[in-house]
Amino acid sequence: MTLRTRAVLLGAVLPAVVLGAAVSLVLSWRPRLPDPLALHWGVDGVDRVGSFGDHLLPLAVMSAAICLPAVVLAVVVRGAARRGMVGLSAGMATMMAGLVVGITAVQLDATDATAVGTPGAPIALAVLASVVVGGLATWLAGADAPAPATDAVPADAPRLSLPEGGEAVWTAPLPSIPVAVPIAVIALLLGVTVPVGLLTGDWWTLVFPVLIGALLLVMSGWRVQVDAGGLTLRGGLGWPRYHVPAAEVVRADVTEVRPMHDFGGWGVRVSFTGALGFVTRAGEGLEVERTAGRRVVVTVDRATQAAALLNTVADRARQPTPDDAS
Amino acid sequence: MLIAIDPASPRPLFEQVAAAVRLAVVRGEASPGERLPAARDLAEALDLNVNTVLHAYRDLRDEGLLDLHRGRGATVSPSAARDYARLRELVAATRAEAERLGIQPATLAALLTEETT
Repeated sequence: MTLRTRAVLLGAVLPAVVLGAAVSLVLSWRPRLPDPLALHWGVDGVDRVGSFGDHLLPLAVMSAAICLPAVVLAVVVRGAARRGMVGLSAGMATMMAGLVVGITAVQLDATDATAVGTPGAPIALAVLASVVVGGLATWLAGADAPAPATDAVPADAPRLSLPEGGEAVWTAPLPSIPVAVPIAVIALLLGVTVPVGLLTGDWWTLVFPVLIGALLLVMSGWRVQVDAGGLTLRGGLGWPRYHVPAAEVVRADVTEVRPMHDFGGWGVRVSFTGALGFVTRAGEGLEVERTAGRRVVVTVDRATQAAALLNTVADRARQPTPDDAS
Repeated sequence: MLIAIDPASPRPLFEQVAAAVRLAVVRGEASPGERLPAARDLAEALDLNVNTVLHAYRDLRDEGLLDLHRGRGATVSPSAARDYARLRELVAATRAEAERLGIQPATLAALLTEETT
């Protein structure tokens, strides 16, 4: 199965099927639902009720508004961000489908909508399911086929003077996001979820700070390395890992990164032009043009050295000598 | 930090690795507390024996430049980065002055390494 077929199946067909199934299921439940239905929950339980249409329509519109752009991106984005976009689309659709079904399921066979408890467990489940399905879809989307560059590295790309037979490695930590950011994010989430838990007993909301915390942890302690094999980014635990083989480097350069302007924020991002960005601060960064129109940007200090070495090892990868066989 | 080695050079390989790390620390390219790549990873990337890298790391620890932790690898010692800032300024000033006077880098290097009689 080609990568393109996989992207369409996982990023567009799967979301459509999952959301379609969710809406059909809710429609089939109509006879078993109270009228009016609970629409919104506050601290003191249900605070807004309405008709079946008031219940389903906003959820359907919201699902479409969130999932359609993701589906389009999953099918359109070809470069380094393809896998992530497919995973995002599958995950988003799973979450919205889970929410539509969950918020309805808690009201099945209820006689009084105002007495229905918060749909905490279904929401937490929907969020977790979206992470699992998104991760699986990312994996199933498949790695790019090897695409070694055919042309020489351009003469104007920076080089490192490395003696014949010499070896070099460039290594640096990926600058950490200012420590105040994760602390503020977690504090804010706990500041909302803990009072909610205390007031309503809905401790399921803790799933959000825990998930975000896990995500921030995975994003910390990354290292960037350039060696004869190419460019490698590794998480603090050796995982996740992102690798650009030297043979697929078209050229490497130093760039100035403006996180908001170029990538719309910080973290592992996709730019409007389809470049994959590991963006943790503004300023100096390494920009790698990879074969098949892919582009990768990494914010690192002393990117000049990294770019020069990467071009040099890319040169060597074009002309394999017996020395490089080892 | 950039670590380049030349197997053809008469200098022992562990010394080349140590010299590169030393230079990076003195230049401020590796900040105090920063973790160095694991010896095994570095050896693999440079196509060296892991013992060569460990030899370099141990020498640098003995110099007080690195801290070695069992299982956590090597980090730049917090005490190692103390007063290189002034040295860097002086080196930059010296280079600028040499350039102004048209003194070749090799001559400058000789001025720094050869003791006057």
